[in-house]
Amino acid sequence: MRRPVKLDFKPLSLRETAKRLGVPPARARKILALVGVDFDGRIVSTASPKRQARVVKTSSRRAKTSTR
Amino acid sequence: MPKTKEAVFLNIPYDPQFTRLYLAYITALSAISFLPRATLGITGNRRLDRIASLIESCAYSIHDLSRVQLDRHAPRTPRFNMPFELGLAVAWAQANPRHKWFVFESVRRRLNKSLSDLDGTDPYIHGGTVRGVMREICNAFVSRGTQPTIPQMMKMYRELRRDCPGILKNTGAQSIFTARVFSDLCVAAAGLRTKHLGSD
Repeated sequence: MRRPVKLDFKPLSLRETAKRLGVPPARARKILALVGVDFDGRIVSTASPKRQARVVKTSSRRAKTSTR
Repeated sequence: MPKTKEAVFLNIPYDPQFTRLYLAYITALSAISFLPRATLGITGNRRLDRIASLIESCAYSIHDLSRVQLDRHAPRTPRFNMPFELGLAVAWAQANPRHKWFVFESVRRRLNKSLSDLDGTDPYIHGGTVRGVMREICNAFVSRGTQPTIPQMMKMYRELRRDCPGILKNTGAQSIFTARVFSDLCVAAAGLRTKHLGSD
Protein backbone atom coordinates (compact mmCIF):
# COMPACT_ATOMS: atom_id res chain seq x y z
CA MET A 1 0.00 0.00 0.00
CA ARG A 2 1.31 3.42 -1.00
CA ARG A 3 1.57 6.06 1.67
CA PRO A 4 1.00 9.66 0.68
CA VAL A 5 4.02 11.94 0.90
CA LYS A 6 3.71 14.39 3.78
CA LEU A 7 4.60 17.87 2.65
CA ASP A 8 6.66 19.80 5.16
CA PHE A 9 6.30 23.32 3.85
CA LYS A 10 3.88 26.12 4.57
CA PRO A 11 1.83 27.68 1.77
CA LEU A 12 3.55 30.63 0.16
CA SER A 13 1.92 34.04 0.39
CA LEU A 14 0.15 35.19 -2.75
CA ARG A 15 2.80 37.86 -3.28
CA GLU A 16 5.58 35.25 -3.03
CA THR A 17 3.65 32.81 -5.27
CA ALA A 18 3.33 35.45 -7.99
CA LYS A 19 7.02 36.38 -7.62
CA ARG A 20 8.16 32.74 -7.93
CA LEU A 21 5.96 32.27 -10.99
CA GLY A 22 7.47 35.35 -12.57
CA VAL A 23 4.22 37.30 -12.57
CA PRO A 24 4.72 41.04 -11.96
CA PRO A 25 2.72 42.46 -9.00
CA ALA A 26 0.41 44.63 -11.13
CA ARG A 27 -0.57 41.67 -13.33
CA ALA A 28 -0.99 39.40 -10.30
CA ARG A 29 -3.27 41.97 -8.66
CA LYS A 30 -5.44 41.99 -11.76
CA ILE A 31 -5.66 38.17 -11.84
CA LEU A 32 -6.47 37.98 -8.14
CA ALA A 33 -9.19 40.60 -8.60
CA LEU A 34 -10.75 38.26 -11.17
CA VAL A 35 -11.02 35.48 -8.59
CA GLY A 36 -12.14 37.92 -5.90
CA VAL A 37 -9.18 38.25 -3.52
CA ASP A 38 -6.47 40.81 -2.92
CA PHE A 39 -2.74 40.26 -2.26
CA ASP A 40 -3.35 39.82 1.46
CA GLY A 41 -5.99 37.15 0.87
CA ARG A 42 -8.87 39.46 1.72
CA ILE A 43 -12.03 38.72 -0.22
CA VAL A 44 -13.04 41.48 -2.59
CA SER A 45 -16.38 41.33 -4.34
CA THR A 46 -16.40 40.91 -8.10
CA ALA A 47 -20.19 40.67 -8.45
CA SER A 48 -22.35 43.61 -9.40
CA PRO A 49 -24.57 44.73 -6.55
CA LYS A 50 -27.83 42.83 -6.28
CA ARG A 51 -31.13 44.60 -6.66
CA GLN A 52 -32.49 44.96 -3.22
CA ALA A 53 -35.99 43.76 -2.45
CA ARG A 54 -38.00 46.67 -1.14
CA VAL A 55 -40.73 46.17 1.37
CA VAL A 56 -43.92 47.77 0.16
CA LYS A 57 -46.53 48.19 2.76
CA THR A 58 -49.84 47.38 1.14
CA SER A 59 -52.02 47.51 4.19
CA SER A 60 -51.73 48.37 7.77
CA ARG A 61 -51.72 44.67 8.76
CA ARG A 62 -49.53 42.95 6.07
CA ALA A 63 -46.43 43.84 4.12
CA LYS A 64 -45.48 42.33 0.75
CA THR A 65 -42.10 42.37 -0.92
CA SER A 66 -41.57 43.74 -4.35
CA THR A 67 -38.52 44.20 -6.52
CA ARG A 68 -39.98 47.34 -8.09
CA MET B 1 17.63 27.36 -11.38
CA PRO B 2 17.27 27.34 -7.53
CA LYS B 3 15.70 24.18 -6.05
CA THR B 4 12.49 24.75 -4.12
CA LYS B 5 10.52 22.19 -2.16
CA GLU B 6 7.21 23.84 -3.09
CA ALA B 7 7.84 23.31 -6.80
CA VAL B 8 6.33 20.36 -8.63
CA PHE B 9 7.17 19.54 -12.23
CA LEU B 10 3.96 18.89 -14.15
CA ASN B 11 4.48 16.66 -17.19
CA ILE B 12 1.19 16.53 -19.09
CA PRO B 13 -0.04 16.67 -22.69
CA TYR B 14 -0.79 20.14 -24.04
CA ASP B 15 -3.84 19.64 -26.19
CA PRO B 16 -7.40 20.95 -26.15
CA GLN B 17 -8.85 17.55 -25.18
CA PHE B 18 -6.79 17.72 -22.01
CA THR B 19 -8.05 21.17 -20.95
CA ARG B 20 -10.29 19.96 -18.10
CA LEU B 21 -7.55 17.79 -16.58
CA TYR B 22 -4.95 20.54 -17.10
CA LEU B 23 -7.08 22.88 -14.99
CA ALA B 24 -7.75 20.06 -12.51
CA TYR B 25 -4.01 19.48 -11.98
CA ILE B 26 -3.35 23.21 -11.50
CA THR B 27 -6.24 23.46 -9.04
CA ALA B 28 -5.41 20.33 -7.03
CA LEU B 29 -1.69 21.11 -6.78
CA SER B 30 -2.37 24.71 -5.79
CA ALA B 31 -4.93 23.54 -3.21
CA ILE B 32 -2.19 21.61 -1.39
CA SER B 33 0.14 24.62 -1.66
CA PHE B 34 2.38 23.42 -4.48
CA LEU B 35 3.89 25.71 -7.07
CA PRO B 36 3.29 23.94 -10.43
CA ARG B 37 6.02 24.22 -13.07
CA ALA B 38 5.72 23.10 -16.69
CA THR B 39 7.74 23.05 -19.89
CA LEU B 40 5.35 25.54 -21.54
CA GLY B 41 7.27 28.36 -23.10
CA ILE B 42 10.53 26.41 -23.25
CA THR B 43 11.64 26.54 -26.89
CA GLY B 44 14.80 26.61 -28.92
CA ASN B 45 17.77 24.32 -29.36
CA ARG B 46 18.63 24.34 -25.65
CA ARG B 47 15.16 23.10 -24.78
CA LEU B 48 16.35 19.75 -23.46
CA ASP B 49 18.87 21.39 -21.09
CA ARG B 50 16.19 23.71 -19.80
CA ILE B 51 13.74 20.85 -19.26
CA ALA B 52 16.39 18.91 -17.33
CA SER B 53 17.18 22.01 -15.29
CA LEU B 54 13.46 22.53 -14.56
CA ILE B 55 13.10 18.91 -13.32
CA GLU B 56 16.19 19.33 -11.15
CA SER B 57 14.74 22.50 -9.60
CA CYS B 58 11.61 20.64 -8.44
CA ALA B 59 11.39 18.33 -5.43
CA TYR B 60 8.57 16.34 -7.03
CA SER B 61 7.40 15.51 -10.52
CA ILE B 62 4.06 14.32 -11.81
CA HIS B 63 3.94 12.49 -15.12
CA ASP B 64 0.58 11.92 -16.76
CA LEU B 65 0.92 9.09 -19.27
CA SER B 66 -2.75 8.92 -20.15
CA ARG B 67 -2.24 10.32 -23.69
CA VAL B 68 -0.81 7.30 -25.49
CA GLN B 69 -3.08 7.37 -28.53
CA LEU B 70 -1.99 8.34 -32.04
CA ASP B 71 -2.87 11.93 -32.94
CA ARG B 72 -5.34 12.78 -35.71
CA HIS B 73 -2.95 14.54 -38.07
CA ALA B 74 -0.73 12.79 -40.62
CA PRO B 75 1.76 11.34 -40.03
CA ARG B 76 -0.13 9.85 -37.10
CA THR B 77 2.22 9.54 -34.15
CA PRO B 78 1.99 9.02 -30.40
CA ARG B 79 3.47 11.74 -28.16
CA PHE B 80 6.83 10.69 -26.74
CA ASN B 81 7.53 13.86 -24.75
CA MET B 82 5.80 12.68 -21.56
CA PRO B 83 7.55 9.29 -21.29
CA PHE B 84 10.82 10.92 -22.28
CA GLU B 85 10.54 13.55 -19.54
CA LEU B 86 9.57 10.78 -17.09
CA GLY B 87 12.82 9.04 -18.07
CA LEU B 88 14.76 12.24 -17.33
CA ALA B 89 13.05 12.51 -13.91
CA VAL B 90 13.71 8.84 -13.07
CA ALA B 91 17.38 9.24 -14.00
CA TRP B 92 17.60 12.41 -11.88
CA ALA B 93 15.91 10.62 -8.94
CA GLN B 94 18.41 7.72 -9.21
CA ALA B 95 21.21 10.20 -8.64
CA ASN B 96 19.23 12.34 -6.18
CA PRO B 97 16.85 10.14 -4.15
CA ARG B 98 15.19 13.21 -2.60
CA HIS B 99 13.44 13.80 -5.90
CA LYS B 100 10.14 11.89 -5.92
CA TRP B 101 8.27 11.12 -9.12
CA PHE B 102 4.68 9.98 -9.59
CA VAL B 103 2.99 8.42 -12.59
CA PHE B 104 -0.64 9.16 -13.35
CA GLU B 105 -2.74 7.20 -15.83
CA SER B 106 -6.40 7.11 -16.79
CA VAL B 107 -6.71 3.37 -17.48
CA ARG B 108 -5.82 0.63 -15.01
CA ARG B 109 -3.10 -1.86 -16.07
CA ARG B 110 -2.38 0.03 -19.33
CA LEU B 111 1.01 1.19 -18.04
CA ASN B 112 2.18 -2.44 -17.82
CA LYS B 113 1.61 -2.62 -21.56
CA SER B 114 2.75 0.84 -22.65
CA LEU B 115 5.83 1.10 -20.41
CA SER B 116 6.71 -2.28 -18.92
CA ASP B 117 10.05 -0.93 -17.64
CA LEU B 118 7.96 0.58 -14.84
CA ASP B 119 6.58 -2.79 -13.68
CA GLY B 120 6.35 -2.67 -9.92
CA THR B 121 5.42 1.03 -9.95
CA ASP B 122 1.83 1.72 -8.99
CA PRO B 123 0.41 4.47 -11.16
CA TYR B 124 -2.30 6.77 -9.81
CA ILE B 125 -5.41 6.05 -11.87
CA HIS B 126 -7.58 9.15 -12.34
CA GLY B 127 -9.98 7.62 -14.85
CA GLY B 128 -9.78 10.71 -17.08
CA THR B 129 -11.98 12.76 -14.75
CA VAL B 130 -11.43 16.04 -12.90
CA ARG B 131 -12.60 14.47 -9.64
CA GLY B 132 -10.27 11.52 -10.28
CA VAL B 133 -7.25 13.83 -10.65
CA MET B 134 -8.13 15.53 -7.36
CA ARG B 135 -8.64 12.23 -5.56
CA GLU B 136 -5.33 10.84 -6.79
CA ILE B 137 -3.38 14.03 -5.96
CA CYS B 138 -4.76 13.70 -2.41
CA ASN B 139 -3.71 10.03 -2.40
CA ALA B 140 -0.19 11.06 -3.39
CA PHE B 141 0.31 14.04 -1.06
CA VAL B 142 -0.82 15.27 2.33
CA SER B 143 -0.32 18.96 2.94
CA ARG B 144 1.06 20.31 6.21
CA GLY B 145 -1.83 22.68 6.73
CA THR B 146 -5.49 21.91 6.26
CA GLN B 147 -5.92 19.08 3.76
CA PRO B 148 -8.51 20.28 1.24
CA THR B 149 -11.56 18.14 0.61
CA ILE B 150 -12.62 17.07 -2.88
CA PRO B 151 -15.77 19.30 -2.79
CA GLN B 152 -13.57 22.29 -1.86
CA MET B 153 -11.22 21.50 -4.74
CA MET B 154 -14.17 21.07 -7.10
CA LYS B 155 -15.45 24.49 -6.07
CA MET B 156 -12.02 25.98 -6.78
CA TYR B 157 -11.90 24.16 -10.13
CA ARG B 158 -15.30 25.48 -11.23
CA GLU B 159 -14.30 29.04 -10.33
CA LEU B 160 -10.96 28.73 -12.13
CA ARG B 161 -12.75 27.39 -15.20
CA ARG B 162 -15.22 30.26 -15.05
CA ASP B 163 -12.36 32.79 -14.82
CA CYS B 164 -10.44 31.27 -17.75
CA PRO B 165 -11.95 33.54 -20.43
CA GLY B 166 -11.00 36.62 -18.36
CA ILE B 167 -7.43 35.37 -17.99
CA LEU B 168 -7.21 34.62 -21.73
CA LYS B 169 -8.60 38.07 -22.51
CA ASN B 170 -6.01 39.75 -20.23
CA THR B 171 -3.14 37.90 -21.88
CA GLY B 172 -4.48 38.17 -25.42
CA ALA B 173 -3.71 34.46 -25.90
CA GLN B 174 -5.78 32.11 -28.03
CA SER B 175 -4.83 28.98 -26.09
CA ILE B 176 -4.49 28.20 -22.42
CA PHE B 177 -1.38 26.13 -23.20
CA THR B 178 1.01 29.07 -23.20
CA ALA B 179 3.62 29.97 -20.59
CA ARG B 180 1.95 33.23 -19.63
CA VAL B 181 -1.55 31.78 -19.27
CA PHE B 182 -0.11 28.88 -17.26
CA SER B 183 1.54 31.21 -14.74
CA ASP B 184 -1.60 33.38 -14.57
CA LEU B 185 -3.74 30.28 -13.93
CA CYS B 186 -1.38 29.24 -11.15
CA VAL B 187 -1.67 32.68 -9.50
CA ALA B 188 -5.47 32.53 -9.85
CA ALA B 189 -5.56 29.02 -8.34
CA ALA B 190 -3.40 30.18 -5.42
CA GLY B 191 -5.86 33.05 -4.91
CA LEU B 192 -8.74 30.58 -4.90
CA ARG B 193 -6.91 28.44 -2.32
CA THR B 194 -6.63 31.48 -0.05
CA LYS B 195 -10.26 32.36 -0.68
CA HIS B 196 -11.68 28.89 0.04
CA LEU B 197 -9.17 27.29 2.38
CA GLY B 198 -7.51 30.27 4.09
CA SER B 199 -3.80 30.91 4.00
CA ASP B 200 -2.94 28.72 7.08
